[in-house]
Amino acid sequence: MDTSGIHSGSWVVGFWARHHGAHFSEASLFGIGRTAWYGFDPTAQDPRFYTYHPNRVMRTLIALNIATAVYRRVTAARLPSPHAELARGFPVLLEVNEARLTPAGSGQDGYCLCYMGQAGDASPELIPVHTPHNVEEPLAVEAGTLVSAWQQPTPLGYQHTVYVPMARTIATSLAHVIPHSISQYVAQMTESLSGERPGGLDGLRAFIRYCRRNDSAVATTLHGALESDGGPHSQRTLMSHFLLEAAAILGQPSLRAVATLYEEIAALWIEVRRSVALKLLPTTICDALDGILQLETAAVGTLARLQS
Amino acid sequence: MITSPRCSVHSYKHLLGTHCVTAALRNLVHYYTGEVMSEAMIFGLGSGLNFTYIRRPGSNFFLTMGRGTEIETLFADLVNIDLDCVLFRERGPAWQFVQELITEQHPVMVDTDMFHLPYMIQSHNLMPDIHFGGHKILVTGYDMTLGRASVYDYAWRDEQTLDCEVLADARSTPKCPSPPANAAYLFRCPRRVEVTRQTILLSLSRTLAHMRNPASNHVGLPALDRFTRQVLNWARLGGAEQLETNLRLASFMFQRAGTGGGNYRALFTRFLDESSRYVQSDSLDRAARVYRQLAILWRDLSVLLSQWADAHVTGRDSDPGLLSATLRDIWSAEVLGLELIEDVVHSSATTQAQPTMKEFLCQ
Repeated sequence: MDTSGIHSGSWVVGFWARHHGAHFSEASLFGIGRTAWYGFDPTAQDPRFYTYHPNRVMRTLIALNIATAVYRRVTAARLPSPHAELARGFPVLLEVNEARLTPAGSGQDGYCLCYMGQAGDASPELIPVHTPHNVEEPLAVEAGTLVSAWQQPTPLGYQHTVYVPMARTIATSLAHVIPHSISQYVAQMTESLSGERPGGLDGLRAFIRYCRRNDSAVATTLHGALESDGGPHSQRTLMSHFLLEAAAILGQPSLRAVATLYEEIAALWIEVRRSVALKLLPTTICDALDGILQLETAAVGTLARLQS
Repeated sequence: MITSPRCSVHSYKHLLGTHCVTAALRNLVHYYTGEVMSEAMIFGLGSGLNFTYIRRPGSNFFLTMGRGTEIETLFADLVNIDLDCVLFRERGPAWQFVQELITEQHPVMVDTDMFHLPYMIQSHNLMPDIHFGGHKILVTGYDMTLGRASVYDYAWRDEQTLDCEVLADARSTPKCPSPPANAAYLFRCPRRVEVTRQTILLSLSRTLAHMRNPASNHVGLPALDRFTRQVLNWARLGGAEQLETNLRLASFMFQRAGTGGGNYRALFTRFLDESSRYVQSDSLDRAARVYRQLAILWRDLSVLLSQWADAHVTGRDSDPGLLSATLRDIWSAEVLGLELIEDVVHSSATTQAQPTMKEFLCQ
């Protein structure tokens, strides 16, 4: 069975769950974690455009009824080593900056990997971590490199995010979880939250407006969101596969039509990526983004109707 | 950006509560949406019903309580609130984080060791050297010219004023179970919080999963099983000299420590009663009756433990017969309650029969 992954956030939960004897497709975990999302804050000093929800790992673990302690620990100084933080004796999931972990990685923070513990004979300076690309044999990362990738600079210090999921057995019925996940997905795409950057469809709308006003945004902010492997095109493909699985599990064939819309959205994201790589005119790219917005709006609207 | 030495959240209106977590969440929902949810509904949606029984290595004290530890996370997830918990190693950035949120007119939920809060110690006559770091309060203002912070706590109608140093101690003390670790919560709320049949059923199925299939033996039915078998042997297990403290602490935790009475079972009963507006089920009504009875049994147990402590101090013998019977009744009723909840979840499931592969491919 091919266990390599597409989107690190859903893959890492699936990898961890497999070690507890539970097998879920990456698409189903992507869906129940309500991963697909858009977020954009034009007022930030370094505006970031997100095509997935930052809290997706926690949401997926909650959907699976897995008790999880999540630590977003802020320290004033850089950690000298990750050992103390990893020495709790449990497998943990970490969020890192992929580019600082491997030279070929994207610059997105929030790249997820799994630390299953240190082998007895391993060098303490090499930390073994599993990523979607290093499944069977872990990637041995130097302690200093891992710390550098893990710590995310914030105005108040360095933030380190670690999830400690705990379960003896995982017995979750997807049939119970999926309807709620779909209705919450509709809510997160259509409602803005208090004190938050524009999110969901509003987030995409705000980003398109920003790109139309700032030609350089396409080359910088958008480029940063278009990861080579797990970018928005792969994420919407996963969403489509999730809806196909949901249609079968819930016996609701109408979800298949929405899945088709997400396939179209994925295709449009591939077009956007190609256009950015070819350095086409920003207006052309913004027009393609408008097309994505229309399809996203139609897909979310259809899901809302099906829910009601 | 902190620009003023003093600031407060102007439009915050405090609603009294019975339990710190649910009251804080209720007040935050009210602040952001204007809606007044019941605490019972928040407790239920947060799958709060549980049982925790733990003795830390090297400690002679047993921590017992009738709830789980993730109410805020589970509630937020269910109603589409984004909740982030940020921990700080140092006090300075931890306080700056809170100040910045207050400046932006956000009340901030923080974790504290309740035994560091002067108004709490005075009101509850708390025992020294017993700590609990998961007590949640809302910080709503500060005045740095006086070195004071304004906080609201669940059972106090009025704002409480604390020295910033006292608050910092309460937020950062390492000497307690569940150290607060300077935890502060970022709360981003939709315009309205919706309760539906689906959210009720999912919260019940989560409660069931967390009670029956917990991650560790310190929570859920395994913990309750150990508690009901061990409590009569506490003198041997925790040391005779600690027996009085353990008994009084458990008695306090089951009834008076912000449980809403009956070790949170009264709160859960009210949740089940409210849920009947969304889910029509005979099993739900029966479950409500069982948990109403459980609230009485846990209250009785609290009294019995307190009487045992009194008898221990005065050197009198106490009759364990009634205590044993109450423990047996509690165990049976807790198991029955979960069976009835399972009935509600399964009989109300929205799933339809799965199509065969051939039907699926032809659709």
